[in-house]
Amino acid sequence: MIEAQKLTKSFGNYKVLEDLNLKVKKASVYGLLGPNGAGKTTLIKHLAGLYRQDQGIVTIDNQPVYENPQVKGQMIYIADDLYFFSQASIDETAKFYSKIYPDWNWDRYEQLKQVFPIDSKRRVVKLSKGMQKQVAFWLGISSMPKVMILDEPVDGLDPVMRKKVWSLILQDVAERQVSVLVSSHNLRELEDVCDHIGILHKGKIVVERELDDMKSDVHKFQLGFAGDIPEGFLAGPEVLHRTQTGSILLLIARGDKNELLQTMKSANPVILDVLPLTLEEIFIYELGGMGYDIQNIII
Amino acid sequence: MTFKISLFNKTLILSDLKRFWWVSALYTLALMAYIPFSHLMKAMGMEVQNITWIQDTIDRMLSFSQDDVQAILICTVPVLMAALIFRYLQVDKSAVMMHSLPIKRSSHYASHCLAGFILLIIPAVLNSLIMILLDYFTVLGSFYTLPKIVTWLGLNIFFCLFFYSIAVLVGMFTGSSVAQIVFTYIIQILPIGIYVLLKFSLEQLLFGFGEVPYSLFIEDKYPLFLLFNSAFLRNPHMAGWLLAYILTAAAFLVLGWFVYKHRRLETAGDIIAFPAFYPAFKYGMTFCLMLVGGTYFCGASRQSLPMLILGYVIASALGYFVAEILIHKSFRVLHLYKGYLYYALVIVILLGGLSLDVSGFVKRVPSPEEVEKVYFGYNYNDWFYFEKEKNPEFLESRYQDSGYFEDNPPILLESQENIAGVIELQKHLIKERKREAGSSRYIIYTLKNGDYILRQYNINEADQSDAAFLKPIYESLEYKKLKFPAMRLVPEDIKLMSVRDDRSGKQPVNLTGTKDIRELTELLKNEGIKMSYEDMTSSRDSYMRISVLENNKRNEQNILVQSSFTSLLNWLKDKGYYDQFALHLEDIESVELEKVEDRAYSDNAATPSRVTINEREVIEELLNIDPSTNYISNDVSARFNIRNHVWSKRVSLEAGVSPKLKGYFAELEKDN
Repeated sequence: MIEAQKLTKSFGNYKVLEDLNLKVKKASVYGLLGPNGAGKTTLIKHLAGLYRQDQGIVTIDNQPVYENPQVKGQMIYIADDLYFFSQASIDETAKFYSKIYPDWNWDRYEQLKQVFPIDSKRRVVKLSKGMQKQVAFWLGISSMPKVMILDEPVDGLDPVMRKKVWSLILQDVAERQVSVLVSSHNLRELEDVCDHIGILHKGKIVVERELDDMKSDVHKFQLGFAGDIPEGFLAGPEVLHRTQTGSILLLIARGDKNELLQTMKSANPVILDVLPLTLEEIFIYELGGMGYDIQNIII
Repeated sequence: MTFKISLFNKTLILSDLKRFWWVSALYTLALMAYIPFSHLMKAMGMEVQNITWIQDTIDRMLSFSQDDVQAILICTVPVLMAALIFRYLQVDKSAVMMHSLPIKRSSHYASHCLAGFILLIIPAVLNSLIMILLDYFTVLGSFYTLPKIVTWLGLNIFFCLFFYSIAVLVGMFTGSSVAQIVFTYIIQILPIGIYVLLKFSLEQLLFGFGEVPYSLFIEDKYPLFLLFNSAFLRNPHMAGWLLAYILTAAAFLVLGWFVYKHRRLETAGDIIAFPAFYPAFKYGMTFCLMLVGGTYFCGASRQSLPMLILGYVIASALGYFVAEILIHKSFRVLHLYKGYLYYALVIVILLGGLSLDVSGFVKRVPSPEEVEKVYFGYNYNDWFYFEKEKNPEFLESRYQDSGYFEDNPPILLESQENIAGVIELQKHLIKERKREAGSSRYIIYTLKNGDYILRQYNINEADQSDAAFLKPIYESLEYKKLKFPAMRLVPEDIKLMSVRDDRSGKQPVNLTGTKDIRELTELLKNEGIKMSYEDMTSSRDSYMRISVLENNKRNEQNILVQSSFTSLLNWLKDKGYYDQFALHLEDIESVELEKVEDRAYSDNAATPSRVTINEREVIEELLNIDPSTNYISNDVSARFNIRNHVWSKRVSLEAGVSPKLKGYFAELEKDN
């Protein structure tokens, strides 16, 4: 659905994006992760058809996005830093959007009043930052997009509102096959909603995975031994991480879960536990293995 | 899902109208207060004798030929409007929001442009309607006419469109609203500004440098100057010009559209939206500021060349680094000094070339065979419109004097002797290279191949060495014919000649008889032919003059009668006219001498020291003494009491006078 090929962009002499490839499937949620300054917003502005790339192709549904009203009419982009006309109320802004977006749905707009408890006659710029974000979602969802591009979308929203907003978006993904690209530097936020994750670092996507794959691919084990920890039994599997505290060994390894368990059992541990692995840990260990400075990448 | 694509997006236009209607409303009110209502008030409170004055004021206002509040409004409101309408483009988050909408850039541009233009036109249209109503229903009906109102509306819309289009185009090139407004004005005065500054610098650096004969540098070609010079409807070619301006404005708008399409969104907030133009901006600013600095320092220090160079150095460095600060949006720009050094190198080479006269500009003197004619006068505009542009009507209409060139023919010399004489003079001037004394004069050759050589020198008629070269030219018949209106008189065209003496207080003698007129013109011509260089350049005041009224002219010409015109004076005496108008020694009853500085400086002096003279011979001496032209030295004012008239002149205390008069002077000093 959303696709970038060999995307390159420089600001002056500074190369922000370099030969970047990215693909978001239809009816999926793609999480774009990266540290500050990695180029997330720049990439997103290309996908939203705002910036013109120096090289490469950016398409949605196989059509170029830049200067393409047909594509943009099916897409909403919610920026990190929102802008509304200074005099307009929510209703007036909605009226403006309704004439601009071809699939605007007034019923939906009215229904969403129950989700977003803001008086729609209030001027948008007078609202708090979090409320403005809610208005952006309200209007965005009401315009019935096929593609949603969200830059740091839930920043400034309270936890209850986050849940509400995500559930609305995910509902659209499920029911209307909406494709979503969402950027964040907060892994936990993405963990619950994304089915794909891409990590952007220094202008390149360094990791791109399906979340389920990842979770079934990397595992965390806790092993306790009666005496010394035997050597050699870990020669086979790929160990991403290893900590040893006395006779307790903590391992993170990649591979099939059952095969790994077999290997562990062969060392006759007293205790053998499979521990839950957070997305954050997966990335820390995956990237650590790739030689990147972890501290820099995950905040 | 079909998507209707049209250039103008109704939603955007309506949204702009909704957002910026208040500018339009304020502008409407301002115009209303300044034009129809103030007219109404003037007209209602009028007194009969003021009718023509009110009519004149109203006419000038409606035809934009008076610089006033209206001119300021018309050149600021459209620029502000353009800045407001395209403000969204100059701020990152609004630029992002607006361009994420499913609207093409061309549609954005066209819609916003149109919205701004509508907002600008509405106030003019509303005010025109009000004026039409006032025309029908109030006393203003006797001042307004429909064509005048329509002209006002048309001109208003024209100026709005023009200034708006410039501001829009400039806005596309820059990423900041402030820069947009500033550049809009800078760009309009840039051609003239650079020309004036460059001219000043070159005058200092190149001996003999004058103007540059290109019509590009005529102020009145630029609407902003046109508006404030109030030269608008006086231009006889205005219709053509208006059309050209409208086409230019349209071209600006089309160009702006093109630029918008290629503009990158990320440049919002930058001073220049296209990095390719950074060098042009940077070095352009460096160069312009260099000229400003040079002009300022050199002008303030009475044209000293080292100060010019100092001004160049300081101001160009300032310009360069300020430009870098603006481009990089940071004060840490000193490490970019290399670009300035390259610039300085180029300028040093250029200045070196100029001062060594590599192009041969200073020494260039044509050979007499090359020259078709030469202008040898004081007024560049006269030459420019008469000889170069061949459009004398333009200047005449600006001076509001249709007979201007007939009365003041430009001194274009065509005879071989005079061309050779001017060439010799120029060679002499180049050799001497004096800058100080004298008055600045143009020598402009029209060459046979169609080129022009234009130089400007200071020529001192009193200087012996200059005079030697000037004498043959001045004494030539060709020069005199152009210089003296008396040489061009045609007796048949003359209605009346009146001879007067400003000193005498007597009525002038009016001559209307054909015979008298014929004889007097003939005598005047002969006197002119006989006139020597010394008479022509003498600083002696001539008090007698002949006013000539010609049949088909409004203005009368004044011809001075010099004391060297003996045969003419004799003719007047023979005819008995002389006594009727001229001042005679016997007419003078007494002369009072008074120190000039007494009156000028001391407020307390109740009665300034004064000496009365009754001696005939001293009075005669005072009458014939050369008046003082040096207003700084301590002068004496001589008041001649002539029956029921008083005439005074200033005499220098240092003048060589007879012992008797000296005695009076001493008395004056003593009283002091």
